[in-house]
Amino acid sequence: MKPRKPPVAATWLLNRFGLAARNEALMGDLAEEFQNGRTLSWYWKETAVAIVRNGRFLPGFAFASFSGWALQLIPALLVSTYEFPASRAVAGVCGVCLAFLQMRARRLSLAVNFVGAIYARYCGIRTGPSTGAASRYGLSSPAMSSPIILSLAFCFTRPSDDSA
Amino acid sequence: MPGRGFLGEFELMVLLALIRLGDEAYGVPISHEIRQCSGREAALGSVYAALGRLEEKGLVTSIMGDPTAERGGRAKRFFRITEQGLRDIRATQKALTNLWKGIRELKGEMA
Repeated sequence: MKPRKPPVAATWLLNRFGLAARNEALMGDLAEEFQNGRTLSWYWKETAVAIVRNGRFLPGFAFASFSGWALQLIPALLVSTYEFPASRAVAGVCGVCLAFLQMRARRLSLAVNFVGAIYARYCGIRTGPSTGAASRYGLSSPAMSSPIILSLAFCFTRPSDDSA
Repeated sequence: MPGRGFLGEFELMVLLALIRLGDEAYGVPISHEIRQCSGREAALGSVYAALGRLEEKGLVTSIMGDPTAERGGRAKRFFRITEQGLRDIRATQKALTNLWKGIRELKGEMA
């Protein structure tokens, strides 16, 4: 009999967001149960539970997302409210302040977020479906792009056990 | 008296399942044992989360087994209760028994 293969997407999610130390055993147990006749919906439910229960990474992700977004929203609002020229000097000062705050958080994701957001600001990259609406209210692209860039950064950065 | 407080309900179930299973205690049988004895479905993720907490508290230890083809080439992690774990179970059992002693029989009514 051909062995059933667990869903690739669920396995990928577990690899990324599960708890690294016990992931091997957990994924093996899931595979064993799946081979013994458990359904696809059961596998997905177990994956969701494992990520929520074991994912010490998630609070860090939420913290990084919100703090990164909030940190970049402040200068974006200041720049738009007081019509500061979008000069390199202003961006540089903001950048140094943000870098300092983000490095203090010791999160690689935040550093990536910062670099990506500043880069997006200079290139005038518009990202995200709500950017058009937000730009009408004077919000600049760093504020809107940071959660997206941060999410991408997390996708390509393997969380480690000691990140909790 | 346990050093770090009493065990939670699910942690207690997991520890008791470990004792019942002996040397064959890994995620799948632990989950089955809890389901059979309590009638409650125990998600593997929840079982591993509880085992992780118990291991951090020093109440269980674990060793990796050999990988098998049935598990997609992944190894089992076998768990075993420690002396400290046994002491905590006894302390929790004692506390619960003492609490029950003061209650008259529950015959479908509130005590």
